[in-house]
Amino acid sequence: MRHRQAVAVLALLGLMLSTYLVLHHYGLTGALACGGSGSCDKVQASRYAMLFGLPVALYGVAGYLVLLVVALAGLSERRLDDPAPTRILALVSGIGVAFSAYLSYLEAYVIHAWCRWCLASAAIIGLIFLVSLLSLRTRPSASPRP
Amino acid sequence: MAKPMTPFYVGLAVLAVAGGAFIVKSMASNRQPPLTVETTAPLTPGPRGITMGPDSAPVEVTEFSDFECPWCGQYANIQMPDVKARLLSTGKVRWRFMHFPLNIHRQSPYAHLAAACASDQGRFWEMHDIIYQNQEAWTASRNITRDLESYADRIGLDRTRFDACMKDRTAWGRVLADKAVGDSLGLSGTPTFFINGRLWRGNQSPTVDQLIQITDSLTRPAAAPARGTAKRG
Repeated sequence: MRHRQAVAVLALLGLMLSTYLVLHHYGLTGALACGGSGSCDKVQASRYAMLFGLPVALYGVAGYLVLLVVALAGLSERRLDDPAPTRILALVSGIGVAFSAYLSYLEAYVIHAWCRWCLASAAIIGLIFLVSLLSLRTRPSASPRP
Repeated sequence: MAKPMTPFYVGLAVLAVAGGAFIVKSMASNRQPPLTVETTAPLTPGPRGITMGPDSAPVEVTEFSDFECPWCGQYANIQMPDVKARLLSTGKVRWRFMHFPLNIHRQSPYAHLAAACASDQGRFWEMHDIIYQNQEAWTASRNITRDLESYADRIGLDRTRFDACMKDRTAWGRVLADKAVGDSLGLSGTPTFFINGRLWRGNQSPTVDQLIQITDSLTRPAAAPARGTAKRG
């Protein structure tokens, strides 16, 4: 239960972060708070900020939304002992980690600029993946419910 | 079960409200300027962009650029002097600047309008240079109009004409016309380069040495087409 709660909190954080980046992409927010380095802007203005015609952050919104919904659904009483939500969380966050790793690679070796919001998202999805794996490992030892 | 979960849901709701408040605040702080890339203006007919170099040059490099984009500023300030000295001076290359203000930049449209207004007085490139040289200053400025007016003075523009142009915004149609070209090509980031109509697909903007190499290959008699670095977009 604690694991799914942690995932829900992290997914909510990630969802809000990616929503902020999507709104920025469409010019609906002010300048990105980026510590005055301009690095976020370099990343956001690069052609890699789009994927298949959509802003990369939008994929983040979709992914975090799925994680949040699954984590909350997994917290309902009848699904608490169901391992399926944890497996879905591990799978989706695993895909997210791979996607984040690719984006971080682009930042490091192609764009040569680091966007702290993107790094924060990478850290969040990494943590969700870690927590989901821990949950998968600990589940068999969980005490059976009557 | 419901009781121990209540603090969790309350905490989650508090987090959602706090995050939502941050997003709303950031949206409210975005004072919508009267001039945006979405602002409608009649698209000006005629040739697109501003060129530097002879019309007869066999090679044309087209740059889609945003005045607020840091990479564009870096390119303009570091690479362009070298491009002018080593490439444009040969007469083999013509450089075409295309306005491509991105939606993410709120100050940029004003800078593009100022450059288009300077172009009316034959001083586009002077304004281009001074805008990029002072990119950090005007992008953080609370009064961008004043900054642009001071640049107009520094490059010797007729201020009456410049002010009138900035006010009536007739030149904005040319900026939008360039932007429309970029949009039709599916461009999303800046700077984006084309060499004789072929999209530069390098991870980084082309260096002067790379441009010289491509130019040589394109202008060499009976040369094979350039391969590898520039591909048709």
